[in-house]
Amino acid sequence: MTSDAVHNPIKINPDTCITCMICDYVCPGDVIHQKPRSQELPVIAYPDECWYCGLCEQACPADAITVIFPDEMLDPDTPVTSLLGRDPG
Amino acid sequence: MLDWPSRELTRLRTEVLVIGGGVAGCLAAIQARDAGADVLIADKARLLERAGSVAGGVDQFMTPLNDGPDWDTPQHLMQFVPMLTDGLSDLDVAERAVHELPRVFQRLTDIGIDFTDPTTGEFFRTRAFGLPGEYHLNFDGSLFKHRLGRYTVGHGAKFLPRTMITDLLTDASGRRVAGAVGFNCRTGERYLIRAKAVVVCTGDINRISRNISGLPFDSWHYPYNTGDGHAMAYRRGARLVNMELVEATLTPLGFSTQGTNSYAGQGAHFLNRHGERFMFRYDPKGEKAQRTTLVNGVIEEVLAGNEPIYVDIRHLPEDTKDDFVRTLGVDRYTLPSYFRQRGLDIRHELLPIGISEMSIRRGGSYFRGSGLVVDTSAESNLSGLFGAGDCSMVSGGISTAAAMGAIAGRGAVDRVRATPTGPEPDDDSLADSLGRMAEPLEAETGGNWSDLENKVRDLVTDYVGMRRTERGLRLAHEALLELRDDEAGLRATSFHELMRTLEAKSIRLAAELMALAAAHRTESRGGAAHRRLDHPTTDDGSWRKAIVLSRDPVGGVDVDYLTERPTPEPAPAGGGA
Repeated sequence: MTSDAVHNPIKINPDTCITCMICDYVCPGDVIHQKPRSQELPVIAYPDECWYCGLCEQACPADAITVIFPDEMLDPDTPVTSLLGRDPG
Repeated sequence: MLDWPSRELTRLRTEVLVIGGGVAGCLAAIQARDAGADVLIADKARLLERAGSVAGGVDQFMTPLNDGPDWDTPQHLMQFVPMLTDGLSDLDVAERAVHELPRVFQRLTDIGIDFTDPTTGEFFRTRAFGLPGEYHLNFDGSLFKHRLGRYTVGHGAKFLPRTMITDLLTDASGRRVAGAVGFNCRTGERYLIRAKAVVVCTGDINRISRNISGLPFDSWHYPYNTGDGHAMAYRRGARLVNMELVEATLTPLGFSTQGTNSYAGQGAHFLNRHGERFMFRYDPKGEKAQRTTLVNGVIEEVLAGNEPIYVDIRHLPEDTKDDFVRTLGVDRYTLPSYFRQRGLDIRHELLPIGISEMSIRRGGSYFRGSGLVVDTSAESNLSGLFGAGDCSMVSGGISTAAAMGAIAGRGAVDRVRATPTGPEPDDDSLADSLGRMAEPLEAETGGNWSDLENKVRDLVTDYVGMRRTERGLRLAHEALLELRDDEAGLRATSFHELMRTLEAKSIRLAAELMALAAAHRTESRGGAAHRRLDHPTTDDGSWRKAIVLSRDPVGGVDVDYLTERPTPEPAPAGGGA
């Protein structure tokens, strides 16, 4: 199950975000980038590199962040057997 | 081409440099600060409070407490350690770690970490992973790392944020570590750090095999731990042990998370599609067996066509279910939200589970590790280079990381004191390090780090993973060596991408060493940790020893062995002089 559009794992509510930098500071993957002293919303610069740890959601003082899981995780269709190795022939 | 922000390196000097600010790194720093040493911690994270694999939370700490019962002492636990390490550790080092556990636990308590169960105010201790006592304390560690990081900085350790250390520097002898180089992954500022002792605490190795979701950063363990410490130490001649051991866990199908501890410890059942509690087929302890046995049991069931596999907590008392659901969110904050978004109520429904991707990390057992060989002071074969936590030979969750980190911090201080004038970084080692750091920026065109990583993951998953054969391992090893030639052609267009590119190279090297060691070990050992289809039995006569790899002077790999000290026969019950 793949789609061409890159899934955005971190939804930021533009009405409540206070552009405080905390999500940028706590993200362990350098995924969220916020310009210092700017009113612009944080940018999810590297959505493919999100760990889905939710540190940003947990730390956000304005409760403006929701971690959204992609279809690949919510409705996976990979059989476990495909992870268990193959015959080298 | 992207230029460095300055032609000059920022030069820093410290007595102890700690690479990696997780649990082991913080304890190393705290101990070194206790002795008054200058300490600098470098980490890829922006805040030390949020650095490392348990920055998002942790729910267990394993230690004897000397609290009355016979089993509750380091001595009792130590008797059992050889059964866990299975011949693949150094029991002298493990013994130091075991005896350090209650001391480091006390230290963590003293700095304000609350290990009690918030609902009762008492310690909530459980028996897990086949240990001979209730050594696992379940606690709300949502803010554990936050407090630890904050204390470490308050205790006087300096912190270098968003910094990827890329290489170690040695003196002219090549046998004495003299510092390290690194860069800031946002600004590109480069650092040359001179140090009298360096402690590598860079964790385990992830993003090395495929998983159910197909998303490489959806991993059970911290996906930003990529074996950079292993790689930089190896390049300078450090010995790496147990690189063939893999570790996977049982995980909700689709989301690679921690949690097996809670499933196993709190009475959950594992069921197959026929509703059978199959785990007793693989271990008399059933669901309370060691993690690697649990994983192996699920693999066997999947191969037998008994998929899907479920975790069942429906039979548990309501308050246990409450506790279960609460604990899941402590270990991984987003897990309850994941279940909600998926529309799954695990209190009343079966939870489909699968196998996570693999990590190179001690093969699922405590008191052994996959990484730097260290002595009882946590020092490696390179003078002044120490290792602790999951990148070193004796690891085991946050507790052993804390214990070995503390031991490494004390060892580093001893090394500093024995070195009044610091070692001088050698020009050749500096030039080599800076060249490696710059290479992806200098490439005019070239491939992307994720393409290299995907190739590595496919090779590892298909041939170096859960079911290994001589033929598959040789095929993968050759292909992984060929991929080394691709590395020179990788291109990075930002400092963030430079970090990922260098990580991808560390992952490829780790996979190469894993394939080599796994091919070498012609037996199976430790459940899913190393399973050879062509050598399915454990051969204690030939293989009750750890494989040690090091780089030879012309760039090849030397293979050596470590044998555990003999274990005394247990005293006969009831007898005795």
